Amino acid sequence: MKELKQTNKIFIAGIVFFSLILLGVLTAKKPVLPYKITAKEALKLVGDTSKMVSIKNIPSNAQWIDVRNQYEFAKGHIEKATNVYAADLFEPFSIRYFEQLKKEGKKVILYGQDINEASDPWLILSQLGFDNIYYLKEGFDGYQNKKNLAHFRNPEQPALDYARFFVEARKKMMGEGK
Amino acid sequence: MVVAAFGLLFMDGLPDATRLRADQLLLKSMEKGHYINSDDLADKIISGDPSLLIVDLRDSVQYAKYSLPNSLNVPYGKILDKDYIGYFDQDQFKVVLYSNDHLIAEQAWLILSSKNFSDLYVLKGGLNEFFNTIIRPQEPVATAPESEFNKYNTRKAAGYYFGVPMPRSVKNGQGGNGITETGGLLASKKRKAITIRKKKKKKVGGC
Repeated sequence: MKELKQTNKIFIAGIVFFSLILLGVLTAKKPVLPYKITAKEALKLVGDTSKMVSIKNIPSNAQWIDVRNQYEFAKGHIEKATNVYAADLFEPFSIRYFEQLKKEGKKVILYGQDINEASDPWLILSQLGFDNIYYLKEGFDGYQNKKNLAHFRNPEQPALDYARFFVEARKKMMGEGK
Repeated sequence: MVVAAFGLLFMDGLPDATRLRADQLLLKSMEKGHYINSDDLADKIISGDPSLLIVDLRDSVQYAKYSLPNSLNVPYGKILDKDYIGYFDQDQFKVVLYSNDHLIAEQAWLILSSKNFSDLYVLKGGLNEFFNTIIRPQEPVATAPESEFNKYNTRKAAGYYFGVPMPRSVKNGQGGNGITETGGLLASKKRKAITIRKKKKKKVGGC
């Protein structure tokens, strides 16, 4: 009988020990949302203009999401846009919202004051498997100045021919010296 | 036990276990601590800051036509290639990324930061902003405060370093101190030789 009790004790201890390990493993901090693509695959998104939307051709059935903070949003926002401040992107309500939109097959267009404010959340969300997300090229600045859109040239276009600028400047200088 | 350990390996999630968590990456990008403006960069270039490594993310054609002095060309599509990744996966130099504007450099920064590379910076506004600030500074209005004028003069002086031709009056005043006929004090465009020591890989995971 005594031997049996001893075995039982060890057995119980083993079960408890194993359960504790299992508990630890299960409750260990999992990444909030795992990346669905590698960094190399994400690199292909850099400079990808297919996810850049211009105010001149807005897709229909799109959900606008303002990534600025609530104060900026309250001051003025795109009609029918919802506000998800970029800092809150990983809050449960926000993730549920994005998952819901993805399930509904909706195109989501992020916008900030300018293109850069929306581009970071876009790039991060795209790596988490949300491939229905776009971002607004002209930003809220462009939305407010719809008449002056020529000002928003394509991003990454040089503002001028740099090399030529120096050549011209030197020519001018030589000319003035006469 | 073995199963649990195995499970832990997958806990970090495929595909790269060494990447910065998405929410931490977002926080880092929102802190905006990774921006450097044109004035500061110009200052560092002129003073020959040895801890700086400037990387031009544009294609080789644009780089050849014009680039910042002492900058390295790594077209952004190649930043993770094994020939180039060493420039970012190191802790000897501070890396300043730039492109024509801000977007590409910022996005490239995000990808590199997600690989846990640190000490990476983005030139705010890119070359376009650099041109509007240093090369072609805006003259302040007459009613502007003195600090604006000081800034303007500093920028003009910096501009000469980067190739803006000096006005003849300035040249003559200094009387033949080696300024070339083409004007300006264009810094050497030769890329300095850089040896990068690979960062010691921190052990990931483990009990």
